[in-house]
Amino acid sequence: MMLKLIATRLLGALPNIAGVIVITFVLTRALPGDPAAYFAGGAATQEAIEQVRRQLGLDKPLLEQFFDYLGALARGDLGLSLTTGQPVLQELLQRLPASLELVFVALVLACAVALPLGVLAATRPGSWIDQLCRIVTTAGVSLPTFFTGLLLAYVFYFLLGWAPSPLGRLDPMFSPPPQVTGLYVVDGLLAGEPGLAWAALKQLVLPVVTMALFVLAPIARMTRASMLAVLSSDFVRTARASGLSQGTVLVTYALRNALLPVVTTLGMVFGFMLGSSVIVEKVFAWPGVGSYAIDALTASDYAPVQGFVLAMGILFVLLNLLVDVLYVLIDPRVEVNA
Amino acid sequence: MSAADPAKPPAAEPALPGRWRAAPSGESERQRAWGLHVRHVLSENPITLLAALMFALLVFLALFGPYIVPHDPLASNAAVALQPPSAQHWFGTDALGRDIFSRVIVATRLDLGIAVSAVAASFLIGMPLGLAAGFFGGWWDRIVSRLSDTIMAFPLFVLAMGIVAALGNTVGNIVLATAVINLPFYIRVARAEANVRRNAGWVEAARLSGNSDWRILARHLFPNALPPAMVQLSLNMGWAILNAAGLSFIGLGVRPPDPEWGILVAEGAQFIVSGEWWVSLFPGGMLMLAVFTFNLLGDALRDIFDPRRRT
Amino acid sequence: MSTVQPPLLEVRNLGLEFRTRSGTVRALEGVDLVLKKGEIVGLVGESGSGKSVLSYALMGISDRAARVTGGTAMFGGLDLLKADERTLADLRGREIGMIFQSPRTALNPIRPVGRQIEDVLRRHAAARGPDLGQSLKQRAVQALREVAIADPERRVKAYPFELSGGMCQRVMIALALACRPSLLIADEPTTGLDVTTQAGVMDLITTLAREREMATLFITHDLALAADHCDRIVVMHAGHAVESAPAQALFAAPQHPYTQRLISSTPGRGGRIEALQPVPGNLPDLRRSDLPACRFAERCTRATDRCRSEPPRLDATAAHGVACWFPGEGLATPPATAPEAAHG
Repeated sequence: MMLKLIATRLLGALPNIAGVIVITFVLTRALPGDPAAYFAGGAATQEAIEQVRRQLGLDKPLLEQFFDYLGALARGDLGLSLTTGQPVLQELLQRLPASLELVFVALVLACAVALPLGVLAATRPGSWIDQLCRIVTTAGVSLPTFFTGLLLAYVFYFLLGWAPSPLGRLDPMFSPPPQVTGLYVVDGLLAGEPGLAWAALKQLVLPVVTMALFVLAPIARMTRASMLAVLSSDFVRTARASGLSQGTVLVTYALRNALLPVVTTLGMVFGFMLGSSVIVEKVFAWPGVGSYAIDALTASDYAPVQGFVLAMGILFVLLNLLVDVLYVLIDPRVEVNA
Repeated sequence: MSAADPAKPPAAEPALPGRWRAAPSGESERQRAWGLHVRHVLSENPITLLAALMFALLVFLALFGPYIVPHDPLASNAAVALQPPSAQHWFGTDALGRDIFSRVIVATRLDLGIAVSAVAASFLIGMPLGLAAGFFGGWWDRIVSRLSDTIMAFPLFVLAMGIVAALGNTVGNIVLATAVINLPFYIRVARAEANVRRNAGWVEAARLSGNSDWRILARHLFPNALPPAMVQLSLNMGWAILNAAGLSFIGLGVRPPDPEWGILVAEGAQFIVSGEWWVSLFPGGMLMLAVFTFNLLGDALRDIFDPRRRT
Repeated sequence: MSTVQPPLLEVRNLGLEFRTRSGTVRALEGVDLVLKKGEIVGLVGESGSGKSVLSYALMGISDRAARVTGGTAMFGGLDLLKADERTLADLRGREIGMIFQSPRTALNPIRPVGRQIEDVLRRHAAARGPDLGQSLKQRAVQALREVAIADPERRVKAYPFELSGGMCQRVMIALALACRPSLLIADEPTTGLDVTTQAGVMDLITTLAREREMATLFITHDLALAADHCDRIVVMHAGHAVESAPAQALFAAPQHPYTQRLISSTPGRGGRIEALQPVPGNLPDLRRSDLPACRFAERCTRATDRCRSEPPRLDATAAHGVACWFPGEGLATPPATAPEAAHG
């Protein structure tokens, strides 16, 4: 029964993946100028350009090009990076763990702060913590990620000297641990090098806090609103009238129900985070897929950028699917409406 | 006297007139109630008033900024490079000796201009599409919803990056990209409104009395969808500014030496870790202020048009 | 019913108000109510008369904006209005049970009903438990069996959305009675249920009440329903308790003008629709500071200046108490036939 539901959700995600592929194809064909001329080089003759065009298959009808594109995708061929000469897919996969590390640690941190904040704001309306929550939710969505990152770097690195220099994942003094998960902190511990793990952890702090600050607002806002609604619901009244303890009422009855809409918010939150991770990676020189794309962009190297957009699109669809499945698992009512 | 929850005190808020434009009768009374309501919202929360003033200030700077700044924003002077804030240079100078204050003020026009154009385009294209989708259903709905869903299948900033990268690194394309990624919001709002009302009795009546569907959409459904759309507009403005600045920060769109808040922050990024904080801080602060203003305005608009949705 | 026995619940002069943005709502004023052990009392009145507010105040689960302005509510030697939250929480579910209307929304939608009953049992585990030998799960099943739910072993794992409205109400009753409280407050338990289910639920409540000698405060706006199942009826109007009498006596000879109006507006078998007379006027706005002493004065044909200035008091201990300066003066038309036969 559960598997059937998950399968249904998976099928539902397919049109989105199809859409992502179509859009990225459209974008690749809308290159500035004439891609054949670009690839042929500045001094090429018209003949040479035509030759390159045939070579790259750019003279074929659009539909045929689309199928070629699909075929290439199926083979895992996302093209070559002009600047590094490496296959785009390979470089993306190599850099993906760094980006995912940022996103997930930031999410955990954001939830760890936003959930209690939202709950407390809802249970103590009008108190200072409620006001704090309101300020956070209003100010949080106004913060430009790059600015927050820079500000944090300025205050905690330059002024206070607490954080290490924002130079990326690891101080140049260390070399990365042998790859097991791709997460330096974990791999460092696994390799028995706590010093390395600690250094990696320190590098993580500022970028993660920057990202977390940004998504703190929607999570806290949703938690507070949802909690307020649930606390005034009929079944919480029944629970209180049965004499259940404050803790039971709050957690087992109120919070579990209140978290349902928060989980659905997570999908949107992931979207924000994937987007802002690009900027955070630039500010803190984090070697993830985002900075890969930015570097390629600056060098007018387009294949990596296209690969990046495609990868992010698919990743986002998959993350939304994950959230969807999670929701199905925790809300027993969904089965009826499937 | 409603039999609502007996343990709660009786509701006191008067119902807000919903279709305040559609009905011809009692117009002046409704408008008076309207004016009172707006005044109530403004006076209840002084921050809203502040936001309104800030908005006015921003518009003023956008329109007249270039004429009132003390220094030429493009004039470079290597001798005074990287000076901290002083009497001559209120926000200090950047690496090329340009006055940051002037640059920040002048940038208002570009940032606001980009945001306004993008949001206007989103609105003008998204609203009709959404209304049509919600009202006609069928193929309209399928295509428009598919379009909206596909856009939302991407992390929006990434999509904007892709569009600008594909079409070329110009300001025009920044506007286009921002407009595209904002489309789904307006489509959604308009579609929801049209969906709710399409089976309403008065719509049937209008149809029966000879109004064509398009006329109904334009004259009746559109005004009704306006209030939630207005709230969306203001919030979107803030978001569009953030987007444009973010794209500029990573090198897309606006080219130096044009001043734009995102680029100004980017120009100062490398200096902040060596202590020259003013190059990034002032543009960033201005950016935050602008976005904050639009968000507060959006909240105020929501309070005016739909107090029930307050969170 | 032994008259020597002290009352189980004795409410004296209870006053309660709500502070709202548009003014202070004087929701309850000078309310007296007495419940004896094993007695089923119906609390009847229009929407807004304060009957639910009263029950919430007794349980200590009033809205945040509520303030008790005076009075006492003695229950087993303890004043419910002055007790601290801890003590009240111990009492709730264990000594005083409460059930509500809209049973499906009154149960946790994402928790199996058996677990919800177990939660209550676990909370008051230290208290009485004649079946201590059984596990919580078994006791939950037993609780469902006692409210006549068929196939309780299977139902115990069900979620509220999988059960019908009537069954949800039975579950709520099981929840409230799991720890064998001595007082049950039933706040409009049958509103929203169809007539057949209504009858079933009411029969269940009254049967259990009799079996366990459990005092029941049955709150409803349906006078006929109260007449069918209650020993005594207390009529409330605009935050005042205006009449208290055994059910039969109330219908045979209503003393308060409001009660008389209520009865003549209630359909009964054999009556004609044309004979029904609505109660004139509306409930007064309880935010007013110029409310008359007797809050029915503005709707009453017998009202005099004394009614407007001197509040009449209800004697809750009397067999038939009434809060009126001119009780018993009949209306032009006699009250409709006692609705007792309406529910065949």
